[in-house]
Amino acid sequence: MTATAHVEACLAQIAARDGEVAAFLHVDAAGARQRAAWLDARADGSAPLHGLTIAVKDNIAVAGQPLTAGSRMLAGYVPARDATVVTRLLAAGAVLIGKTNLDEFGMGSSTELSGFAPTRNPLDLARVPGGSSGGSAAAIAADMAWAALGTDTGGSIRQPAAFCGLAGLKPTYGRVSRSGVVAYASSLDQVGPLAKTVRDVARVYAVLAGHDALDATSAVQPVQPVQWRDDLAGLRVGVAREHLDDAVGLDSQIQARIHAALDALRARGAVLVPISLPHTRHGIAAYYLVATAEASANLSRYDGLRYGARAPNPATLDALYTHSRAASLGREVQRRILLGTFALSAGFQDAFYQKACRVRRKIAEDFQTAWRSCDVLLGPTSPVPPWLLGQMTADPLAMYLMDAFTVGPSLAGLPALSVPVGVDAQQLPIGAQLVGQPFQEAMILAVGDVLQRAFAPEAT
Amino acid sequence: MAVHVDVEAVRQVAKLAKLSVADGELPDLARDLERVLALVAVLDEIDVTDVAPLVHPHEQGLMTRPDVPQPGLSQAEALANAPAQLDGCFLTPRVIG
Repeated sequence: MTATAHVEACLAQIAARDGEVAAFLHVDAAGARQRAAWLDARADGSAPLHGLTIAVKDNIAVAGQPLTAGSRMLAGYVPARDATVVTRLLAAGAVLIGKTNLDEFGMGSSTELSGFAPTRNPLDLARVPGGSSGGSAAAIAADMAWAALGTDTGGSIRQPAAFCGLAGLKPTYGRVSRSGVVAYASSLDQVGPLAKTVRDVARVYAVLAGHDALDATSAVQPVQPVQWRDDLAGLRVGVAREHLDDAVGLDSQIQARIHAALDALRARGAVLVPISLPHTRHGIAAYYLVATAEASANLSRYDGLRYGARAPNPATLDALYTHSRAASLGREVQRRILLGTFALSAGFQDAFYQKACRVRRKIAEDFQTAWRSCDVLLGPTSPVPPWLLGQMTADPLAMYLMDAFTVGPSLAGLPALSVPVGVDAQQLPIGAQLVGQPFQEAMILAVGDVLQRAFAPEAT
Repeated sequence: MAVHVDVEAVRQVAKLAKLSVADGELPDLARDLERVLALVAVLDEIDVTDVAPLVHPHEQGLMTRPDVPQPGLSQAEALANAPAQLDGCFLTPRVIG
């Protein structure tokens, strides 16, 4: 298929379905067509992502295209530079098809908290696609793009991948550059790919990964190529009871399906190792304190002065700041800024932020202990299937708890991959989360590929 | 650590966060904040007396690049997204006097 034919097929899907799905905040039809025509005419087809369409989460800069991060605060903002990940995709021959919807600044788990419109799950329009990279996941699930970039702070790539029946990788902290990515919580944020298969995720990941001098947190370790395999002889798969049989609020069909996934790995030679992650139940609390504290600092840049929305006719500089921010930041974003500011404020910093950072070390140590007896961990990505739109929005705390299994690897900075492992009785997709040791993306991708093919032999 | 959050506390935090909050919203925000702080009280179960805070997941430290000038944004590019500008500068309300 030519790049042009592929782009036209995606644009046709967008025209047919995005009115109801709302995956995109901006579609660059003209740019995608122009690029595809150029690739068809000039390129030799050898680039690793030649002619493949990629949707980009709208908190990642593409020069000359609007960037909102899902917030009315950034309505009308157009970046002058590409993010490093975008530069790498273009150098690899990809076609960027548009910018995808997200919970405002990445703060949410359903994409209902976008400042513009909620995205719907293409597999069941009454349900959410997950979040915060819900637009990216929905775009792929509806065949509007071959793959997409997401960002993941506490599960925002893995959970929407699980909700839309896709594979999604959060790389090791520092593995992929964040230059040109809107910051939410800087000790947690990572960019990563989503696609229908683990092999396609690996193909995009290989382009994204590697050191970038423009990101001071970028890791210098070499990127390991994936060694694809068919059997898992000798692989030690850790199974944390707190993520499965002792998990609080875990859907019984998801639990059964993860057991089936474990059986599939064992049938291919893996050894299952029961382990404990004793601080799992503290993960959400530590995560929300760390993430909101960092967000309160990161989001202080939205001042109505240099870019972004500005309240009309402010009398003073202080009024310009406070009114611009209050008028254009959404309710959940303001709630998290207030929590983070509180957790960092004099008199409370030791009791909240510092305490959360100490517990974070305990959580990281739980994983380090696990690595003494196993190579990867497997459990559910989400405790529940995709919920109905509106079901969780009245109670933000209930939505926070949905991240129970994804925040631990985020706090520890570990790579984690959500792999589709089938559907429940209502045909809602179920994702399994594979967690790896630092910089062992190649390992979890190889195991994830075996796992996906065990449930969907055609997914190569 | 159970913490009671009253509207004055929210008003003070909002001031620090540079968010103007209408008086009518303060009670709801106080209630939301108190609920989240009740949720995070679970951390008090853990004795972390001798545990060092983990602020960054990989303690590689920040990398710096060689101190060589690189092209940056032009003045026009830097101002392109400004809500208000004048004579090549970002325009603010009067700050002095």
